[in-house]
Amino acid sequence: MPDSLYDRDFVIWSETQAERLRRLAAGERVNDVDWDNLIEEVETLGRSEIQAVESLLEQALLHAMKVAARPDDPASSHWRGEIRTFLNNARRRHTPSMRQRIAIPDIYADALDAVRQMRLGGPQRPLRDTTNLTLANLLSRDLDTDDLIAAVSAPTP
Amino acid sequence: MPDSLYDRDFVAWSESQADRLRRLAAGERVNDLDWVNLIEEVETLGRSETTGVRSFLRLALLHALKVIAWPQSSAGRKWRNEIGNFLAEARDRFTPSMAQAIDVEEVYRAARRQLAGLSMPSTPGPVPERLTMTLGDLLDEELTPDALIARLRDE
Repeated sequence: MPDSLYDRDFVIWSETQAERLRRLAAGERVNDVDWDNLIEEVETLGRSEIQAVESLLEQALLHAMKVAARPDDPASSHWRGEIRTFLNNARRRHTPSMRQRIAIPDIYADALDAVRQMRLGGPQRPLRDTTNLTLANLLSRDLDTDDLIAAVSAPTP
Repeated sequence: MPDSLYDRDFVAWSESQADRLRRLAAGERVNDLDWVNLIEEVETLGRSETTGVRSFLRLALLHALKVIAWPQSSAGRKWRNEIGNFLAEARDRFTPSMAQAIDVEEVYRAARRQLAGLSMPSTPGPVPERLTMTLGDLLDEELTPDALIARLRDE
């Protein structure tokens, strides 16, 4: 049965559960652990990390798309700096088991959607509609910012 | 002994701990839980919520200070909307047990420091040195962005 403390006061809930786990770890019999919410929270810990990496990758792609669309924009050197920061942070937070769980084509589509809704102003160069970039490509230390920008630009006929 | 999976692959760690807890809850004997890290993570859950409320309050105050420091700015309306959003987030997430862990004067000082660090096109007008509002005042449902700005201006 879920403990309604979970909804009423999450801070106390978390302290209480930690305390009960500590007793359980010490070999005591503990009957009142709020298992359902506890297990869900523990699972969510990992999922939030995945979301954080997804969001960093989306930001990196979005900034690459901005540079690709507006290479001469006064903000483009700032955007380039952002690409590096987002990719570095994504690499740092990434863990091996994320590989099967992060779908780059979906993240690419979200970034493209976001960039198309921005009012970037002025003439814009076309972007690639879909990508064959992989998670490994994006997380590689060897990925050059210019190569990434080229990878999101529509091929010149 | 901490499971090094925790450092190596946090996602895999969280899934494996959830799985072991599920077995434990079902009455199975489970010997290989990573108790130390698990307990720390569960404690941190609550602390992060408190940190979240503190950040929303700081951001609400920061935006109110921006309106006071740059009263003529064309961004004033946007800042007011932001204040409303941040106050609503803080109220939504607040729970009574957080009260002792949130020092509003410290939150206000942090907002002032952040204001001082902003790069803006013009120099800021004066902002109040100290905050005399309480946590209860800031979380009051009736506190509108304009009311917060007015309260701060009166300080």
